[in-house]
Amino acid sequence: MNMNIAESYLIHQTDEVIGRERKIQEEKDLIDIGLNLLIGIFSIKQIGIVSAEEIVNNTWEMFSMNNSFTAEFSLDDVTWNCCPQTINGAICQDISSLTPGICASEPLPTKCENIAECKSGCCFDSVEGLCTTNSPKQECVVDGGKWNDNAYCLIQECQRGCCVIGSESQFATETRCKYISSIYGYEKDFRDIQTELECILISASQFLGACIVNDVCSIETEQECLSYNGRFFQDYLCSHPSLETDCTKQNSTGCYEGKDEIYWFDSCGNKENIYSSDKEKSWNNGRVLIKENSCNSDSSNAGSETCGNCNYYAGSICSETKAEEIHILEGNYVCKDLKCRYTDEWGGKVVRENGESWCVYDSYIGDGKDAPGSRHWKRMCINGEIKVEPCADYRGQVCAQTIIEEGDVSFSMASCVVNEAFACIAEEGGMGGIFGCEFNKDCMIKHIYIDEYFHFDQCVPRYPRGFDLKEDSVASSLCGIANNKCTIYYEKSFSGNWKCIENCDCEGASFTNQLNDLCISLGDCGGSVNYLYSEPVKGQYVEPKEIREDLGGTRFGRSETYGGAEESGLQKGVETLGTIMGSLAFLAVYYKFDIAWSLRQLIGGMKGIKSNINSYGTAITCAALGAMVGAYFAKYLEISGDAATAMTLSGAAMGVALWVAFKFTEMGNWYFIHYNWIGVIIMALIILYIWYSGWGKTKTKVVNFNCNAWQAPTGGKDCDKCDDDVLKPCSKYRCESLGQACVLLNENEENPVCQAITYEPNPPIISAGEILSIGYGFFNENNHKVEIRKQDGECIPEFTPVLFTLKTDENAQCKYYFEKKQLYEDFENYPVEGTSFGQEHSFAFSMPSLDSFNVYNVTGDLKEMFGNTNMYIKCIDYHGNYNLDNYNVNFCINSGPDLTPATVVYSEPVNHAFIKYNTTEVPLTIYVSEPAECRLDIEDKNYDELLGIMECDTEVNAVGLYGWECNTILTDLNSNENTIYIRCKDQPWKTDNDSLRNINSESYTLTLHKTETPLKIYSVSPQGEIEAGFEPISVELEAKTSGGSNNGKSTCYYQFSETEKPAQFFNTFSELHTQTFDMMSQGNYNLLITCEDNAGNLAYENAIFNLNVDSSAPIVVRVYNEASKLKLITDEKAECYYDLSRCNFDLNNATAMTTFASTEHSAVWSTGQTYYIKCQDVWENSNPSCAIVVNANKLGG
Amino acid sequence: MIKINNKSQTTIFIIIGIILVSILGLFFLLGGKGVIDIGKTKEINPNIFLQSCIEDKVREGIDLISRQGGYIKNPLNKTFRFTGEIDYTDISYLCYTVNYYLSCVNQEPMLITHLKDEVEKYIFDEVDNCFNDLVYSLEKENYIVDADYNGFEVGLEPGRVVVEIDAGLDLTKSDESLSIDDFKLIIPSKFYDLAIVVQEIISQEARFCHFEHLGFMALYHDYDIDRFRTSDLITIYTLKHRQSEEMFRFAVRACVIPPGF
Repeated sequence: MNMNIAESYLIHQTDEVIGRERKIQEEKDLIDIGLNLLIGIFSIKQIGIVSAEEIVNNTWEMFSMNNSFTAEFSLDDVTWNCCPQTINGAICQDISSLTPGICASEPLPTKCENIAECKSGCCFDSVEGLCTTNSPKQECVVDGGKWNDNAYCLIQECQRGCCVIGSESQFATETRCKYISSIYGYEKDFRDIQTELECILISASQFLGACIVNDVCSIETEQECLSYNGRFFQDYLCSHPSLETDCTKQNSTGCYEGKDEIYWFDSCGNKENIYSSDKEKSWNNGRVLIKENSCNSDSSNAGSETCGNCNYYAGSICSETKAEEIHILEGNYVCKDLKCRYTDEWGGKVVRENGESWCVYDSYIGDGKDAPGSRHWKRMCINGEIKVEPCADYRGQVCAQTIIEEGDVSFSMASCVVNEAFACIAEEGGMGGIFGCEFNKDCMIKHIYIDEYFHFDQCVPRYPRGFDLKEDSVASSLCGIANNKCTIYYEKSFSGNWKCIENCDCEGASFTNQLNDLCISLGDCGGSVNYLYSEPVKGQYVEPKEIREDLGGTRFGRSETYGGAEESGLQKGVETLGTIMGSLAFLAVYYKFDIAWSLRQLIGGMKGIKSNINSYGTAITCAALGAMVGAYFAKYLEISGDAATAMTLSGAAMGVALWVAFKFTEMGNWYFIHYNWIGVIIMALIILYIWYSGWGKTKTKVVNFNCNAWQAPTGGKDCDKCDDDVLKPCSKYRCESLGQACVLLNENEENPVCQAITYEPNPPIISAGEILSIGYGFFNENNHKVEIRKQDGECIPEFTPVLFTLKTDENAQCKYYFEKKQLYEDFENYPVEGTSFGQEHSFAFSMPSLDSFNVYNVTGDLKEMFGNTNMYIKCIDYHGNYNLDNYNVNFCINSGPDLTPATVVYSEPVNHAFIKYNTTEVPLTIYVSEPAECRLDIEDKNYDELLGIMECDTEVNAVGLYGWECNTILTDLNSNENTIYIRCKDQPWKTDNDSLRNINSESYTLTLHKTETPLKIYSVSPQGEIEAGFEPISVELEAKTSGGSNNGKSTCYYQFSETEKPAQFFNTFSELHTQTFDMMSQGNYNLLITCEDNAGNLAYENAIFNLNVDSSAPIVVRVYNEASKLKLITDEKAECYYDLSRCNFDLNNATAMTTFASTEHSAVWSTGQTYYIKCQDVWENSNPSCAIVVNANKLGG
Repeated sequence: MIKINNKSQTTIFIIIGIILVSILGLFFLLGGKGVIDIGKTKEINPNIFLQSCIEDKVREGIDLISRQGGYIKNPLNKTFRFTGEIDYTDISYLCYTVNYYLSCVNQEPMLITHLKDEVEKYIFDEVDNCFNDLVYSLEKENYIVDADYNGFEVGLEPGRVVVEIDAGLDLTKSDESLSIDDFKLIIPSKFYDLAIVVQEIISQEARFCHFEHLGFMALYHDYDIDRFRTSDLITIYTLKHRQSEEMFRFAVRACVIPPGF
């Protein structure tokens, strides 16, 4: 079932259409069998494209990220170079081998982190006191900066505190504080305050007052006033009568820079108190009136005409108004209401506080059902205006929302966060397997339950990522992860009708619906509708993640947990015979053992216990033998289920009857013998009937579900709807999701426009493109047809892939079928590119031998038809025009005998892989180029002499990812190097003429190496106590590995707790694994480290450490006089300085008592002198005043 | 500072207009250029002359540099047009990565130094010309001028841009001589204040792939920060100082999430 655009819309909407889809799978007649065969067998979509597994594997490697969302690219086939300057002028860019030609000069053959000039670090501007992160060294140094290799500026110089400058304060570095203070003419006042908010609040608590300088009055802080050499009158306004200034009170009103409130101003322009229409109260007898004591201080006073005590955090700020607007009584100003009011999507009136942010969605979100074209939006209420911030398009980000509630008040906060959808697909094979899925809120486990034997769980994105709808070359491959096939088993009943016995629900709508849901959840795949037709649900939003939850942490892999046909009706029947007989019969019918061997063993065993068995035992034995013969017949006649049970029971009964006959013959009781033979005949007739009627015969039907990339509907009727909402600006992705004919214009503008391209009624013109397979060509091409033959004009050999392309004169989507049909919708199959629109369309076919059709009862004319068949092609353009006359590609299969043996295309594990330490068994899967039976051995022998028999998919239509699959379990892999020899015999359907089957003359050799030593983590750091001077603390986690399959080369993961998802080290895939944590707080840590090498060897270790922050200044623990020297001992390593007059001295201008950081410090002893001593430790914690004051007179020696 | 209402502003403009017309009238009457009669002799005020000559160019330069992400011309830019603007603008990337998913590399770690250089570059010819004009004007007023021009330096400080001209003028006329060597022009502007915020944004973008502009605005009400994401996943920041309405706009390409996987 191929989900295409038109069908997918319908399928999404109606069950009737699902029924129609399902009908396609129903077996109707021989033609259908043949067509399905052609579709199922010949179309090898995997050829010539990257497999989904490869894509996701690679994707995963690329997305290995650390906490701060930077990535380490470690793909083996991608090399990284450092480009000092790109053509467009960007400096120090890591460029991959995949993006050549963008560097202005020859790129340096390593990453920029290894190039001194380009290494990223912290650039410290020692004049301004500013720090900038992730700065290339050269660029920093050339402009006069000081560079440090801590890219995140977690260095002492960049630690911020509160810098108080007059009545203002700034959260800045100490150097910056000094600089800014000097600009304003102040002494540096740098305070150890850790948060920005606390610092800002300091400025509000400064005492103000009138400052008179040369008879001019202004409002200042005391410090400011003194710096002007003025006279300071704390709490006085300049209009206070006692100051005798010329400034008259309350002359005007207005806003004041940096303040929220409306103020009175005196006639000299000095700010007075907060405006109130009660002038006297506001003037406060000429004294400063603090905010808390001003009018209505517990309210925002928004829109008040009498009170100007606006409050930003309560939702108002001073704003100028027009005369006709509401304003205070004495001026055109008002406390502007900063709340936002709007009507939501559901018609509800909503009021948002200033600073609130919330999420808005286009469509249903979550459960893997976000609609193509949809986007998550963050909206914010900023100063009374609603602003929008689109989260990354293609749902690269999701909008997470949380609501803080306190009493009746609620405050919403939203954030656009990275959508880790890719990690979900990578999750299954990684650390923790599918269970890791639960750790990631962006992932969910999709439970697919179609039938008892067709069910599985898969980790999928909760919010599927969007694809580039026009150019995403990997979309179809990625969607293909959800491709599935279900084999339905039928059995002929006693009455001669076919009855479904297994996976019956695969024929139902549930199969399509569930797999389509799975398909949709992978991305823009499958049958779905665009965002216009999917409604958001009220109250539905993305929950925020944990702060430290990082991306990924596992490798990709997919475990298919399909229930197989492990237990058939036949098996059930046989089991009823009892333990011994049943199991033997079971083994026999399944032909797992050599039947003759089984009989010999049984008879030999019987001889051994002959003395113990009585005559009833003999009867049971005969019954068992009879049952085995019956079961063997059942197997031979391909009968199963009740019929096999009946035949087995009949055989058992016949065995018993024969025993009775012989027994009674011995006893001379001919009467019983007579009737017994009648019984035997009846039993024989039953067997004959079963054989004749076909009761118990089985057949299978394969139902495929193909998950294709989602495509927008043809045409462009909805294009303009992209521009409907100003708060949801259109984008390329949104626009293109609305219709194939929709294009985004003015992309480089704030409000681009989505328009439909001009309609034209002409269908695409199809023509032959290129034959990509060597030795083949197009022949006899005309407007509607082309033939594909070998260059010599011969037909195509069996099982030989032929790749070719067709061209269209405009962008189009193509489909093909092997029967003429009129409507585009009736065509079932897509070329290699899937549902994508383009001008080149790739097809790949592999032709089975004509002989193989016999298996499917395809004979005579029909077989002739397949031998020389037409592939009909239709292509549709953006506007929905398609060619009414089919374009035919004709090809034929070589009708000669198959002379080519099967070859092994791929194996898992691959050749020269390592097996786990202490493991002697490993499952082996090989893929062969055509259906075949394969054997293996540890010695190179002829096919028939090879002892190990593999279980192979011999059905012609059972082609897998790399070909036809064979499985076995390799045992006794005890040597350091284990070589396995494999040979195959093709054409398994030719059981009657074995000599025509081709056998490999040479073995395929597979060598597996044993892991000789276990993988070990031999070093982990940090461990124990670690000291830092400030938070956040930067910690580098390091693990070293040895042994294992590749001398310690492995991938390591860390977990902060066992319940947490393992995260991959930032630098790994080697013997050394490092991960930097930049935001650590003090406390105890126990990190679990797990490493895994490519053989699957695991090693575990813990990093147990305690982070301490030393924020206290050194303490002087001893002072003494020794050899005419003043000596000091401090409790920690430090540098001490002294001044001879005061404690408040600058360390840089003081006399040092220490050469390097030490606990011992000394100065020249000068009797009678007083030493004012301050110390500073290695973290630059210094004594705020003196560490100690030493009077040399008082100190003894 | 007092925020003045519209009516008052109009009045002030009218007054300023009258004053300007009067000065112009006097200027032509006296036949001088930036030369003011003080006392018995005509005393020169070169600072006023230079301020009036250079200020517009400085403002023009600041405006251009602010709109273009801190550069007069930079090939590393994003051409874009916001609604209501006539022309497309080349907005420079101050933090950039060519890759997907990676955080950006700071392109101007010493932003303040760079901005000073850009302003200097922009007004370089103008300062030279203005100084020459000053000398010429003085000579026309029959001064014997001994001029020594050694260039100039731009300083960016909170609330102002300072242009300090390294020059000396020795003026002689009618046995009176005057030496001037203090040429300091102050242009009120929030250019520096905005640049400091820009540097903070870049630092956080380079480190966290994100800047919490809503939180910043809650703490610093004077700034209005708008973050716009373009169709090709570029982030354009527009900072505005609410009172002065000066703005600074720049682009960042960091942690770009591509379509699909």
